[in-house]
Amino acid sequence: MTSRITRLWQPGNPQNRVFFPDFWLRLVETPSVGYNRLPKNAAKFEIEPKMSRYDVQEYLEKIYKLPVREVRIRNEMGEITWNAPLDHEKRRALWKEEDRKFAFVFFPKNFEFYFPTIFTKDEFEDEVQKVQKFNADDRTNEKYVNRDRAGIGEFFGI
Amino acid sequence: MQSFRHLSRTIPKTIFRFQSTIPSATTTTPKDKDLTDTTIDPNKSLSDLKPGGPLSEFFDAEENFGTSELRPKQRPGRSWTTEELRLKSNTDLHKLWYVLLKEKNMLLTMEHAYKIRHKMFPNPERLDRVHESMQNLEEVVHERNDAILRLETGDSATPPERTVTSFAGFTYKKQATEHYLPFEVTGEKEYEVPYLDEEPYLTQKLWEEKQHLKKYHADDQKRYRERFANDDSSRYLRGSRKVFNRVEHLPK
Repeated sequence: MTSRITRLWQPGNPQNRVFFPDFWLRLVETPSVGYNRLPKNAAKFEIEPKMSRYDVQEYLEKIYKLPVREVRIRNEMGEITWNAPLDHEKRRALWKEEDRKFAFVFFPKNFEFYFPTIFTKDEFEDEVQKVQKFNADDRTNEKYVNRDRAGIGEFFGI
Repeated sequence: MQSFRHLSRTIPKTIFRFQSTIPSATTTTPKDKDLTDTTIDPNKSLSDLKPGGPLSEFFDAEENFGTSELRPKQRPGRSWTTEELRLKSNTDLHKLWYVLLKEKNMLLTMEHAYKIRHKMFPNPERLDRVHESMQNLEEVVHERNDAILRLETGDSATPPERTVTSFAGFTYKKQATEHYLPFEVTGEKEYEVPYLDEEPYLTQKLWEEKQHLKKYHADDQKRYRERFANDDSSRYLRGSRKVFNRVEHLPK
């Protein structure tokens, strides 16, 4: 219910509660070297733009039971494709990507998080190689070959 | 003392060792304390063994990593229907909502990991099904909420709507928002269909005229096409009969 209806609060009202939050979060990879490297007690999330840093903290503490120390937010405007990118005066926007909001979540010092390696084997490449191997075979005589020979003559490869 | 010597003789030479306890070149016989490295640290939980450690809930099962399609056992079922959800209690629905929410977050994380590497995300219908289940859940909860509110207050649970007019004269429905002070005090009221100025009035007239003509032309085209679709042009064939004297001669 969070991103759908906002309710005003006045002194004397009970705490505004959200029973069915529909905020989403996605964990995002960060480089393991360089100035963009995060410490091992930090993680970067892409969050719904309507969330605030306190929303993120509550979300992770209550739903995922994580010990969150601090949350820092960064807004990134989506990329725009221009019809004439270099003509700043008369260019027109053709398409704009959606704006994104990122949260850098910091956990206590003894927390350790390493983004797991998800892609070790390339299944798609294996399938492509299988298809290539299949195509490379010579199947001219498949229809005429007699396969009911009980293994006779198999050594000759027909 | 004798029992210890007996133990060292019965231990086979090839034993599994953890990486942290590889014996150095100097030690030859395995000692008791080298073998007992299987102590479980009570501070470390099971989640450390899963991929992602403490944030393992954001990742899929390890066997699904890098696959182009999930194995049959891991494939998802269909989404929850409203009939099924109506049978559940409020606490069950509440719990299910969070289960679905966590699943959605996990799928979004995995999808992003595949997307940035230009790979195909396996079974993307999982996201649609989770979304559908959440929508159905919301519908069922809304029904129950609506029923209670109507009984107790007489008002519906659906948020009230207001008609808003844009600068170009177009009217659209908008959800009413709460205000601290009434409009008589603040002097600002957005929800009204005001008297249109010259420009919005003309814009509306021209827009309606354009829509009317579009529809008219589309219908016209449709009628023209239908004329040839339904027309049986067999009577224009060269060898076909032109005069019918018997019932059997009629075209089929």
